[in-house]
Amino acid sequence: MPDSGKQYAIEVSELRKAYGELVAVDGISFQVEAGELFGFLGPNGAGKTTTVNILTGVSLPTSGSASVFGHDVVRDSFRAKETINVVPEVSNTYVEYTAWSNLMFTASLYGVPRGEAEKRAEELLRAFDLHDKRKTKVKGFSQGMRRKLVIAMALINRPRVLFMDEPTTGLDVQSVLTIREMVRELNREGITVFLTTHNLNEANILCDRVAIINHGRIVATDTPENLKRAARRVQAVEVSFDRSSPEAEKGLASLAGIKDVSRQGDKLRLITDDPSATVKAVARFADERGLNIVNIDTPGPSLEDVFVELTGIGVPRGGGE
Amino acid sequence: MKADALSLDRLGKELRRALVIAVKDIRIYCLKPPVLLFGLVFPFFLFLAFFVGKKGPIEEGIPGLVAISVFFASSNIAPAGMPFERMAKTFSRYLSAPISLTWMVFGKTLAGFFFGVAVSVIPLLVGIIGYGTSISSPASLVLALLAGGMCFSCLGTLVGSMPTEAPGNAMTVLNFVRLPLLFMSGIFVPLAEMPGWARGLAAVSPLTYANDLLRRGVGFSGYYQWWLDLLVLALYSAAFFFLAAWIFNLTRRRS
Repeated sequence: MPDSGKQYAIEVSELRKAYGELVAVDGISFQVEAGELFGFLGPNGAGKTTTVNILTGVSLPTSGSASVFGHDVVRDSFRAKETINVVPEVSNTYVEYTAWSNLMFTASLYGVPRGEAEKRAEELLRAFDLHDKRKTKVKGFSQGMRRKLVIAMALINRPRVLFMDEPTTGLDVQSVLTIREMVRELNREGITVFLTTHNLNEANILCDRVAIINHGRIVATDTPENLKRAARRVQAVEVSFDRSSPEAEKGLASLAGIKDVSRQGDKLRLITDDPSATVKAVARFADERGLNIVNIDTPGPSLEDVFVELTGIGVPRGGGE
Repeated sequence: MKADALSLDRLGKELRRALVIAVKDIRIYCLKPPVLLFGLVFPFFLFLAFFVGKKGPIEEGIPGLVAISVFFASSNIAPAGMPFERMAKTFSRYLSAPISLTWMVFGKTLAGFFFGVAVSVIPLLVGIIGYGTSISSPASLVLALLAGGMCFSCLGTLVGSMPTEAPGNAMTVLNFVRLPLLFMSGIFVPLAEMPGWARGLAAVSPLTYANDLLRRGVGFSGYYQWWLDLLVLALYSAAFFFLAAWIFNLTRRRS
């Protein structure tokens, strides 16, 4: 239950956005506390970006309200927008400008005094390992460098709330790890982070709390661990054998008590109501077929399991993020 | 919130940020091919072709050349730049930044205004240095450039408010509007020499009024009163600007 006297970093109440008959966001409500790293999860078309667009002033709601540190995003949007900045899904830099000019332009647009902006830009370019490229036009930057520059641009005004829309999508592993560490560091510095992602692993390892949105409605809001606990009935056994065999997959699916089998890399994931009985049955199965078990594990439900259960979205066999 | 929006502190911030957008737009877009082609090269050759055919003294055409320059250059920046910004998603930066939509539109308009006025000085200098054009009424000349530049830039912003990501689409619409306004105006045929129906058509084009004021500035007689020229340009500017702001807002509401 929300505390009526408390000022939240973000407060959303009965927010709705409709395009004629199509309802993109259907009366959602949630609060984000100051200093929180909040994940906003959902499948494509669930209403994530629409919500972020409303919170950041890019779009207007059909009804309901939202505020950032007490400033209504529609009626007091100027003040609300002075406290935020955004890392959009697309790295929307000015490619004709240098990295330095992009930072200076953003600083001016947010009213950061020149001297302070230059000092901050120097700090950010060094922190993001872009200082050597500060006089290079962004046109020649790699995708990872552009992403880092967009994040630097979003930090130039020292926002109290940072909206990040799929910040690691399309990046190489090293850039993903660097950016995740940056997000953690920003949050440690006290910045409230609103992270939109469809990468469940990212939300699991980064976020204090997550909200799951589907068909424009929030279906759950809690910490990743609490959500996983709530989905206890999704239990699994993961097993890998010394050799891959399509027959093994079919055979395991026919064992009693196994509800589903999916391949995840070299592992087979068996969804079951009774992990203990399943482990014994798998051991017998391997013995009968002459297979050696390389590894067997009974992991708890993943955030992905929770997500699938709550949104009702099927994950293709062997797939998932 | 309304009182806050009208406070001097807030207005100062909004104006500074609008200027930041204008300077950025000029730096990025004034050398883009559509701006150079349709803002500078095209009007110059259009004018040249007409005056070669007419075989009149070139100095008589100088006010017309200046008017065409400010008309094409001022109206070009927004329609050339906005589709690029939508395509690169940089347009959403303005919407999420602490600047109101109306001031953002004003910033975009200022870019065209500054660019158009600066470009129009070139043919004016050519006239003064090369053809002995004399400035008989500096006030009329300056007012013509400023009011004309603002009016045509607002026209450009209106076309730029069209929600397209293809610069070609915006330029097509712009020229579809600009060319009739040019041929209807009193630039190629003086108003006094036009038949009544053509004069009626010319009265619809804002270019007519900018050209009329410009002619006063360089020693020719004006057809309308100077204040009427200014008033009509101001009314057109306001209409174009607020219509553009309304379309931007409508697009945001539907986005």
